[in-house]
Amino acid sequence: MINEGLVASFAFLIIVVAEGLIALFLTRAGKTHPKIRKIPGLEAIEEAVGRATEMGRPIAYTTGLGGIRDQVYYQTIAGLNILGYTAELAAKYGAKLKYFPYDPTVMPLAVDVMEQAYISAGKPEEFNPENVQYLGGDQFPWAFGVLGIMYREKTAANIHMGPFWAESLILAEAGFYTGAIQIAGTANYHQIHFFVVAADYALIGEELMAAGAYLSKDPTQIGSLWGADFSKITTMALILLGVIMTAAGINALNDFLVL
Amino acid sequence: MGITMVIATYFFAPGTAERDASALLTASVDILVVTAGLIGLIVLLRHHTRNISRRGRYWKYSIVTIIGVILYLIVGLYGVATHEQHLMYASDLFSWVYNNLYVHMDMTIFSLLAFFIASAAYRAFRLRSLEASILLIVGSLMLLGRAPIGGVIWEGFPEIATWLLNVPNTAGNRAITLSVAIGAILLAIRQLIGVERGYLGPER
Repeated sequence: MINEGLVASFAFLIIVVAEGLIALFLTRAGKTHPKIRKIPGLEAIEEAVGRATEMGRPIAYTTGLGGIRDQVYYQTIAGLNILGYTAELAAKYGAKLKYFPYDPTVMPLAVDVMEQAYISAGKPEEFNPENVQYLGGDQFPWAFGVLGIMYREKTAANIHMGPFWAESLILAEAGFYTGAIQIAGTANYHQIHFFVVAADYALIGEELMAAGAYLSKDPTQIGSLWGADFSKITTMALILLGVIMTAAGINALNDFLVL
Repeated sequence: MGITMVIATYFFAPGTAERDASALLTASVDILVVTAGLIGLIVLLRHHTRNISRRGRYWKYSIVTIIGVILYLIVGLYGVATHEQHLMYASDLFSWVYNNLYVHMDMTIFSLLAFFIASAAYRAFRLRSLEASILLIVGSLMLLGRAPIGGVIWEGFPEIATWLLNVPNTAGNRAITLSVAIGAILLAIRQLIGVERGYLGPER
């Protein structure tokens, strides 16, 4: 039996997973060819790397305060997806990319991602593990470590992708004053506005999770994003149905949600 | 492991042996974390000792970093060695250093956020587009509604601020939260079935 209070949650999970998988397999089978809209924040990464190459200055990259074992791990993973893409571009162009992990568990993963990116770009000898620099695992000391490097090394581009809290504006605003091009994205709704205001390009919410599929250009992965659209339509339909039923005095949906 | 956790959450009631067993599985991640923490410490020390030996940029700060790390490590180990209290609790000396040095430095950095908010708000609140103008009007109403002087000027300001928070703000937040939740579930599924492997580096 499903635990009390989690029946509706489980049902919704099954619906979302089913819609995502159906869309994914339909795309893989070639039955449909969904298109994905342009995400300016991800398109701008190449511009940022190019700028850093021309200026001969480094790129600072962070994935926020997340690890791989917490509730926001999916944002860290999305940030690492984009790190791989950025590192590959940096290797191709010959730009210096510096990554600053917050959580020590992310560090070995990031070293691996960057090394793999340099191998993919055909320049494994140019990968320097010291460009992945651990600055500590506390919020503000870490943020000011990154900020200090941004100021001292005059980074040409700052890319922040992952879960951020109060340090988001510290990083983005300080980066603005250094004159760097800034691309930032988070799914933490309470920090998105700071990035929108202070960064040149911002990835809002789910755009961050779609980044891996978007950058890979893999139709199968893009298919699952199509499935996410179906889940959103289902959600909106449920909200609308709930409003109508509640207004009509029918509490069946409300009763189901608390089961 | 991912599927085990889903099953444990939905089908094993809290307090049962099955739920405890699944909790043990997640606790095993701590072993990985401790190892990763040690790697972090080694990398930090290696980076700064190299910087000092090469007389790299700002090498004097590297000395401060190494002294800080080693001193705090000694204080921590001293607390463990003398352990007046249970090992789970920090020693008095460790807590003193933390409360009287670290916390104050941390709060000093945090307080700088107020200045960054002011400068960001100055840029964002300029009348340069329709969106910026809406932000300016809404931001001004929020400031007046939340600052005590707003209620003194006109008693409607706090009500407007509350409405803005409860209606349009909540609607926007919920839209983002729902989209993120769906996106996160599907990202996890793509990883579990091995379709998305970008976090392991670009594929050749």
